[in-house]
Amino acid sequence: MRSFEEIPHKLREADRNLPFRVPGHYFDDFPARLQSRLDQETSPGAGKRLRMIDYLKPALGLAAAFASVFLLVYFPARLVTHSVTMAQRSGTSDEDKIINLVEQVDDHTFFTLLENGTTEEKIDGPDIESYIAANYSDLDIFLEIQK
Amino acid sequence: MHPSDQELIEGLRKEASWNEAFQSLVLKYQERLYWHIRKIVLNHDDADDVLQNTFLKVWRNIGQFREESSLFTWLYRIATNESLTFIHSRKRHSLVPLHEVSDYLKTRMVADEYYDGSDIQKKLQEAILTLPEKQRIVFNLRYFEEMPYQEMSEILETSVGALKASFHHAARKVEEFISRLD
Repeated sequence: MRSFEEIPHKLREADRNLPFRVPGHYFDDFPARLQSRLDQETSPGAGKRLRMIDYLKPALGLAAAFASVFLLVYFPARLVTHSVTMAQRSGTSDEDKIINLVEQVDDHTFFTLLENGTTEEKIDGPDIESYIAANYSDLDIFLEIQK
Repeated sequence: MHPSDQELIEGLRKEASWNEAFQSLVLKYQERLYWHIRKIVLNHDDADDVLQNTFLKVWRNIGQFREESSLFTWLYRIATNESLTFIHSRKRHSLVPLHEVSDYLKTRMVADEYYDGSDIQKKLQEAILTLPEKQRIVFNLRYFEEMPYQEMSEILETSVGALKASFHHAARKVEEFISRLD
């Protein structure tokens, strides 16, 4: 039995009813609800019934992992190769430039140019004078002479 | 009229009478265990969950009951442990960051539709909530259930002396809290 001396005065006088209620018929219904839960626990395969999603989960997880790795590797790799290609394209050699120019010239003009290059005509004084007069100003000529 | 604990234990030892004995055990102890649990978890829905978990554990482990303690003590010990496990797991998974278990319990208690009573009853519950966990259980068992220290000692696996000291401190703190509110 409780000795009242151990309980402080104020608590001795306090209302000891709890401020808690339960729903109506709670204790009448509880055994049936508990039994239903126990039946679930004891039924064969209880808690082991797998749905379609449970079967697919490992495969989906694996697929997602592969996809993540692919995305993580593919896009950075693609960016790197693309920039290398662009650099190669912009850095074309002189030989490539000549080939591009030659390809734009038609066959007739090309052969004419070749023949002009092989002529053995000699350029004399009046020709040079007329070339200089046509292509250089007097000032340019004066400056060249002063050098 | 409920069968005695000894009759229940004997019924649970025989396969033919096992189901009936277990049903009788539930009927005999459901209400006492419910109120013990409710005073710890404070919310009806939580108390209902814990009471089911308690009987589920009893149902699974009744074969291991060795009669080293009384059936009543064994059931109370399971109910206490289940209540504390429940509170700590719920607090961990709470969406609202709560620093103390008492914050979680107060939130759950106030939100419960089956929480109502006089102002003094509510003040007393608030005061009890300020106690450390173990003191709270000791206070509830002694103050509301008037449980002898020897029984409490077997349930909580703590010495009688320690329980007396624990109740003394708890009662003082509760009284001080209520005095401050007045």
